[in-house]
Amino acid sequence: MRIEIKDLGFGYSDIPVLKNINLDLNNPQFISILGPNGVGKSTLIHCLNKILSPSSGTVLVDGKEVSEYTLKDMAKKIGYVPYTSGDSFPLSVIDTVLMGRHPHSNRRSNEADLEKVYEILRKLKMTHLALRSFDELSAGQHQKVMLARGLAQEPEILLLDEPTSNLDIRHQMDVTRMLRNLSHTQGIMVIMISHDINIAARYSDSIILMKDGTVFDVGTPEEVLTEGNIMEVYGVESRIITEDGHPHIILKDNIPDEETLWDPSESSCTMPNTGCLKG
Amino acid sequence: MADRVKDRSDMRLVEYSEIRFKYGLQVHKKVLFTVLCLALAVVGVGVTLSVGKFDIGFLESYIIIWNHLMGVEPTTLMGETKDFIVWDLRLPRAIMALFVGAALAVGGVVMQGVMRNPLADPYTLGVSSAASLGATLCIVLGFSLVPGLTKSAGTMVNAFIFSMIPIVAITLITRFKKTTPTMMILSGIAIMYVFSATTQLIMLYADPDNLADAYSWSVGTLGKSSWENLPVVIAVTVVGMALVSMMGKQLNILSAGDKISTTLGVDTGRCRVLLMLLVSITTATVVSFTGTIGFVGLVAPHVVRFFIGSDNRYVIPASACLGALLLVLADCVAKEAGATGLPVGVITALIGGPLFIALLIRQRRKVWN
Repeated sequence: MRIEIKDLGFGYSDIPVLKNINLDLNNPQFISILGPNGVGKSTLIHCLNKILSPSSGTVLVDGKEVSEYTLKDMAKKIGYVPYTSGDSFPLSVIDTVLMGRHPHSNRRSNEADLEKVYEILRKLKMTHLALRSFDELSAGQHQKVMLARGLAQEPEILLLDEPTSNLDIRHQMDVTRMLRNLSHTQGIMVIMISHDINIAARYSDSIILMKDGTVFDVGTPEEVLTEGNIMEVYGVESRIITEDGHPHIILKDNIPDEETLWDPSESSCTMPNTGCLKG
Repeated sequence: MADRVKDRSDMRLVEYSEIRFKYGLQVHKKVLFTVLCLALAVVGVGVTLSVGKFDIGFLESYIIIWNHLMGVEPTTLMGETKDFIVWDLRLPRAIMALFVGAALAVGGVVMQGVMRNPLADPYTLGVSSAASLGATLCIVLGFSLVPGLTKSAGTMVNAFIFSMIPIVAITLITRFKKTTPTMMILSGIAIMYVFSATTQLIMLYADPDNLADAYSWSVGTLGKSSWENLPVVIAVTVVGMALVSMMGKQLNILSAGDKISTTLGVDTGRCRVLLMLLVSITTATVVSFTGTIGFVGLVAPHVVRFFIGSDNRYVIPASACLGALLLVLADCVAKEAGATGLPVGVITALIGGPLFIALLIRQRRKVWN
């Protein structure tokens, strides 16, 4: 499997979101996309699986341009796990995961699909929830159900938009480790958007660091996660230490004043009509 | 070691069989609910034959039908009257109720699923107000889109053509701009206001007789059912429902949101327009024969979801059966109420409303987010 992105650009009307993205992703591996809010991480993965069509440049999946795939072929190739669920009329967990079989099955879901769904639920340790209704579950369980649905697609490439954002630290590690193992044992390319630098550093084979709609750096965690890069991209001072062979980031609280959200030294009384200036 | 592996795979098999069994049980319950509604609806038709202002016994009505089928001519004037009432008025009316109820309920399921909105119903896109305008134009102003028809035929044709306007407009819009469900609902509401304002404008200048006609049309009645009307309604409803039920799974995926459905291989835009087109044609057909009967389309799908959950593969057929049942029952009341019976649209809302609120309060299952 291979994803080649050449000079990719995307914009909503006139506002450019992605500029000049060039990436060549190969082989089963676990890739994390890191970067501050609003740099176009989600937009980037949406350009890979036909949710959005790029304004310029090309995206090739296994040598074929994305726009030439039918939706169904794309769904067999690339699985997608969204950030939040939009399920407005909730189904049972089994039926929700069963949806992931849609690109493969014909009208009626057959016995084999149910067995596959069971196997996935078992691997995610959630068979006890199989018959529950989706809306009765916690936010973390929702994410695992959606992950299960993505896995049920049996894709060669799995895209995940912050799959661990609602999970506690233990479950974040569990899910991330599972995704890494999945990519290594099942031969899937897993691309995940993440905000947790340490967890990404621990489990990722590669990291894509994004800034302002461009790829700032790509490489192994050790190559990408440097004090300089973190400062450039996030504007945060940090110290990187290496333990167990993985880089760990330690954050320092001395962000330059002009970038802080709320400056207490700033007078709150600057407007002429609020009355506070008189006193 | 080998034993341990075997034990574990045995355990999996046991667990799987258990889940599979319970899942099967859930499915059976859903099917059972549907069959029950269907059976009750058929019984309802049986009951409604002996309900009406003219007193005909329960068994007697069946004897009349049997005789009619066997070609036994009634001998007395009374017998002839009763034969006319049961065979030519009540039976087609009951069958009409069955299919109209089913069509409206399926319309509700589809609209709610496609729009991802529990408030949607077959009229959400402005179908009812468009149909009303078409009918009013003919009733009050004598304007028929197809010239040379009688007034009642002209009303029907007008209503049908007008009620297709919203979906055509929306399909055209989708060619230029990607539509979201919210945008569709909002444009439906805008269309509704324009059409009802026009209707009201026309009514302001109508003479009292026409006004009453136009008004009763807008409430919806089964009183105009006849054997001649039935074939069209049955054919369109059956074909429409069959096509929609084949898309139950797609509807499930559509309700999961645009991104999900796209990445599961469903062409969201096309699927949405196709489903709405099917529903619009079915609703338009039904409406042109009965006027706009409200509430069944909105409520039947929700009641079904209270009982069997939100899987559209089962909600579609179950709603069809429940919608049929509700309308048959409502029409029983409508025929008995008032001096000469009331329009069934009044009854569905008047009785259905409070019942639905009671159900809303009592329901434990959360069937939409």
